[in-house]
Amino acid sequence: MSLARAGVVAIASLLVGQWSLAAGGGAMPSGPSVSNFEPREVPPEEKAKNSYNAGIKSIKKAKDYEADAAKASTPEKKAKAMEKAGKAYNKALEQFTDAASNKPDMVEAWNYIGFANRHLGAYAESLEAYDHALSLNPKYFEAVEYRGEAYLGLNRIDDAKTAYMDLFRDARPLSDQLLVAMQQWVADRRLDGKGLDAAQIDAFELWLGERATVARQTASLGSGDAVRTWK
Amino acid sequence: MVLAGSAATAAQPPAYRWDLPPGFPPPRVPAGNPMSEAKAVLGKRLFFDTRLSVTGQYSCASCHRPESAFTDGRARAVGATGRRLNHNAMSLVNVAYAVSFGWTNAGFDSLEAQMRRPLFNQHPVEIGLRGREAALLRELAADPAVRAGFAQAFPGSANPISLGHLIQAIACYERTLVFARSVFDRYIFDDDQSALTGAAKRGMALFFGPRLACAQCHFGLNLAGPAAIAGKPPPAPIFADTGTQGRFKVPGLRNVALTAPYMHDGRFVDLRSVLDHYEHIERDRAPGETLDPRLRTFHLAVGEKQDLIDFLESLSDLQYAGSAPLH
Ligand code: HEC
Ligand code: HEC
Repeated sequence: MSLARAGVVAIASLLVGQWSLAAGGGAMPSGPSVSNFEPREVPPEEKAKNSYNAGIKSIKKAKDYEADAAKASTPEKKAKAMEKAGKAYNKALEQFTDAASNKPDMVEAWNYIGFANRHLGAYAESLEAYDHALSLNPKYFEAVEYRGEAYLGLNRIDDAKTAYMDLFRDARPLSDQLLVAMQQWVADRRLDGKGLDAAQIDAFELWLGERATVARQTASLGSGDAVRTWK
Repeated sequence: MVLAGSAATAAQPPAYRWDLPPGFPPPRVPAGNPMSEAKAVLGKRLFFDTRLSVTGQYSCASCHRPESAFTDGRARAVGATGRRLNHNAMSLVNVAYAVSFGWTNAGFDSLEAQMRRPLFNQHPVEIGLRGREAALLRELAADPAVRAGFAQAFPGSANPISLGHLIQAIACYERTLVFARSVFDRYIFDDDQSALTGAAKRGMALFFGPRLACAQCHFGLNLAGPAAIAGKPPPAPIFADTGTQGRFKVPGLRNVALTAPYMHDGRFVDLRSVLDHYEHIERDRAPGETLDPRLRTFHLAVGEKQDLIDFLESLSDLQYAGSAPLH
């Protein structure tokens, strides 16, 4: 589909190959036959970890820039901060892609590939990555939440609702998070429908209002250990 | 959990598969009595087995009838020998999540521990097994189906038919009684916004809202206060004085429309009377009785009382009626 995605997949499969090669080499008693390889390098697991941690740092930076943008005093400053945020997300994307290449079953890295793509507005790529994370671990609820937000970006309302209900049943705190994102999404689409008409937004807002009430009322239902009440 | 010790566990039965309704995590199970299908099947048989009782006519199910959400419809339960107990029989639906057992703080920390009371209690007699333990085990051993049931439930045991195993099996069965497919559940977990009537939704808002604050005590999955969830340390139980002359366990409100009469002594015949009581709790307070501070003083408009009743009725789920005796 898009270049970015094709790139990720290509790198991933390339490196999967490389990794298994390296693993094969490693399994052999260390002998002279592998002397063509670079001297014993950082193992892929560790590379993955390093890239992942670097990615987390980039995400933090991106979020800081976004915060700067939010409180910027002039449109120019805002644009500047947003540009920096975009760069940081791009950097993060590279780092997480590298992590996932070194450790293809690293669910967290795939999750963040989705996250960074979503913040770059690449919703389709983002979805792709979340789907992959969830195929590795269907109970990785953070990815369900993020994917829900990606669905919103693509105006896939019914899929977003399904994500919400899945979280409501199995990971209540994350459902609250998605709910907030949904409320924000409604506000955004009111300003710019991005292909949706007012009636569709109205219907979703009605649904959302009722779910928000249910969530507020039944906040104490999910927790078996704390007395919480609706204030 | 499942992954641990692949070779060593080869001889063990496959991990128990819970059949849980949406939104319900697995309940906490004591390490000494892991769940198994065979145990639950045996436990179900024993739960309904009248040979356990001193008269040969009584079983757990005499006071915990499936069709009444495992209660008996009486204000206070009546034991095998006809003596009246002090308390109302409690529902066993979703009892797997309970953190305390019985109306008062009797100190039982598991279903296994609790079961000694109905089995052996003599003042008054409930089942009346005391002194007849060996005779019962001999009688059960002579029944081929039951003997086979114990052997399957406790494979590898040198002495499968024992009192300890009987208790474990019944407790295991009790833990399978997890049901939550009421219209309320369809509304909140299945996103069926038309499952609840407008009146029930208004009642729900009252119940959970700050004015009545019923959920200060009736919270958690079963509207029963703290719940015991697998993998989490068990939370402390709560007992409260709600103007009934004592501190009692917060009962779950699932299926409450099917479990009249109400309160620890069955003093109220219907839900309307319970709500009247909460509404006039200050007025009816016994001299010197200290009410629980979580209780609110409120007045309900006529329609509101019915709304609340509609909500409480929406918590009924008739699926457990399918837990009828085995034959
Ligand atoms: C004579 C009637 C009677 C019989 C028979 C009886 N029960 Fe009960 N059960 C009660 C009453 C009454 C209570 C409330 C006890 C109390 O606190 O005073 C109760 C409470 C319980 C509870 C606690 C539930 C909760 O939510 O706290 C469990 C569990 C239970 N019974 C299981 C059993 C089992 C298992 C058997 C058979 C071995 C059994 N009962 C037999 C009357 C009976
Ligand atoms: C302070 C904690 C607390 C609050 C608040 C509270 N309850 Fe209760 N509820 C209890 C306790 C404890 C009992 C059992 C009392 C007894 O057995 O004497 C009970 C019993 C009941 C019962 C009877 C259940 C049965 O099986 O017998 C119903 C119905 C009920 N409450 C509904 C409500 C409603 C509706 C509200 C809000 C208006 C409410 N409760 C508020 C603690 C509370």
